[in-house]
Amino acid sequence: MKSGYWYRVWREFKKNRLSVAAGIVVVFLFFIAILAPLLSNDKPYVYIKENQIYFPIFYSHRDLDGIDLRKAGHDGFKIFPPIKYSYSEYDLDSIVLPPSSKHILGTDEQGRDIAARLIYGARVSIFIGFIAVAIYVSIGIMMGAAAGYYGGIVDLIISRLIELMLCFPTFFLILTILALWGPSLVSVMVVIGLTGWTGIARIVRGEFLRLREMDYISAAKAIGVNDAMIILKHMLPNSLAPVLVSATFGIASTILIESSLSFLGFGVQPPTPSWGELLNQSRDFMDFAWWLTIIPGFAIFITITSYNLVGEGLQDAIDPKSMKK
Amino acid sequence: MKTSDENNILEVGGLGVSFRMPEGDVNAVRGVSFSIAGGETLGLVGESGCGKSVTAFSLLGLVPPPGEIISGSIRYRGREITSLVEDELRSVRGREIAMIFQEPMTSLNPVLSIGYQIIEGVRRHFDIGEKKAMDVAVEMLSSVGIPNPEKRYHSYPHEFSGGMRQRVMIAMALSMSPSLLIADEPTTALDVTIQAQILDLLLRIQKERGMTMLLITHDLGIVANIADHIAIMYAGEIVEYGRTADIFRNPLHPYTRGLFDAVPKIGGKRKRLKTIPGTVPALTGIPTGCVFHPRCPVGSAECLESPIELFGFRRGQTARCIKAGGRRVTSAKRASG
Repeated sequence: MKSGYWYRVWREFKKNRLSVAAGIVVVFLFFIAILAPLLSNDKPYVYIKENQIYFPIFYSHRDLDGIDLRKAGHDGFKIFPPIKYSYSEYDLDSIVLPPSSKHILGTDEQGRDIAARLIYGARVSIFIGFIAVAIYVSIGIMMGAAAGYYGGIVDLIISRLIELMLCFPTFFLILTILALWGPSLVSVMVVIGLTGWTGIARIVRGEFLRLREMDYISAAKAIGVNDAMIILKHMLPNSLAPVLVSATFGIASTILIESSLSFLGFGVQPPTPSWGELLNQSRDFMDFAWWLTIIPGFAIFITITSYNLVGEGLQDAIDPKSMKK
Repeated sequence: MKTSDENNILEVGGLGVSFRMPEGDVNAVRGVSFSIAGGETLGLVGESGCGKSVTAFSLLGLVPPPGEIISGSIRYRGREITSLVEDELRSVRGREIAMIFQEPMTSLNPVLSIGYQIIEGVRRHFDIGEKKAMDVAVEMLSSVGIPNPEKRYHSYPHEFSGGMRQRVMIAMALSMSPSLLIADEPTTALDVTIQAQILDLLLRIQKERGMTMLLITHDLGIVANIADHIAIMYAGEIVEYGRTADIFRNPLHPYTRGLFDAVPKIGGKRKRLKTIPGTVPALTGIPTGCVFHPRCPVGSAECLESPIELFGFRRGQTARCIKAGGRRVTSAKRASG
């Protein structure tokens, strides 16, 4: 029966058109990230020649090795992805070109196609956002649940730890750790994951402190439900809504942190594209090649705004004052 | 007060519950003793904050922190509840002693279907699969008068009214066939007509199953119809205990008499309702001597001298008052502790 709590949240969320539109953008970007190799590739999906069918993107065919099917001389039936370039492919004959019919979003200083790098950049940025947030939401839920449910000395230790973490300016803490570990995609995710959990922990702790006093928790205890089930089945689902809101905002801010780190050269390393790294590469050409800066900047802006709008919509949707029976 | 008896399902002796607060210990329950015979109903009556609910929670080993049981014994079918470890307590909760709560609107988890909440306990205590547990739940829902139980099984609490939720709570408690049901003000939050329905339901089920019941309430009218015995609680102590008929006919403690005077009567002369002057003492500042003396109409200097013990009267009626009516039988010693 479609009447659970989440169904009601969804019904409230639907009323906010702007958030729904932002949600569509979020889902769209998500698909772009997942389908990046199908949207931008130097190989065709299908290549038919002399009664031979090839699927160069999906299989590697030995007799096509080292052959660029885009070049003249390879006749036959070909279906290419919308962007006929891979993200790492450079062409020194066409560097820093403005958008044109050949390169719809232009090229960078090594002649790489910006559209291809933007699509793969979405993959990296959104992937980092999701994984890092997943790491810190997990840590935050565990810490907050332990502190809120058991209280006492456990709460004291975790709360002091949270305050300790909050004393550090997060961004500089991340920079410091990355300087020690060496910048890479994995270390960016792990570092953001390990430093970001305090907010979630505080939310979950607060929710658990509130829920602990609820009659239905006493009722569950009174029928002999054990601590683990009370935490997982009775309390966690009730405290998940604000966590979800915070995680949505968290993905936005993680993408922003990742972009900043990459812009400073501490994040993802070339040739792996991320939006921040694209911005970083554009620095030297900013005064004449506007597309190198504007395009990744716009991508970041759209993504962050969409996630924030979805977050705000969710926040309103879970507000008990807005949720009617 | 009854002494140890084969028929007694529950024997509480000298129970003391204390909350450790920064301002000092709050002794919410002091020296409470009572027993309930199998199949009977004991009405535990008192004002808000007199320790009735704390007493109920201690029977399940669920006194909310920072409270703890500091003295006394709770024997359920000869087993000492206070010395059980958490794991053993969990096997008693729900299966042996079940509890229904005052506030049906908040006693069900809003994110779980009511079906899940019923079978959760059943599956914990009985080794049966989900399908069988579901059959039990559906049967219970129909026996507490929920129409269309197969469909309602999948519903969420917000789709039920207060009275229906209380029925669900009762179904939840009864699905594990407990021998003792603690009903903590089961009808307080409900409309009067619904109250009657819920009480009828409880009575019917108790009769059908021969269940023992501890009914906690502040409403004398409810216990009159249901309870076999009544214990009146005031500021953490039982001040009077006896058979329902005896207490209604011949209340001995001035507090009990005050409670009866505060109930409007049908028929008779119309006059201003009496109230008990003063307020319930804060549990941090319990008066020395008789706890009721600051509000007592018959109190005198000797009431202040030392804590008052329970005196025994005819037919097992006891009262914690040195002035209570002439035919005192014994000076009842506490059963234990």
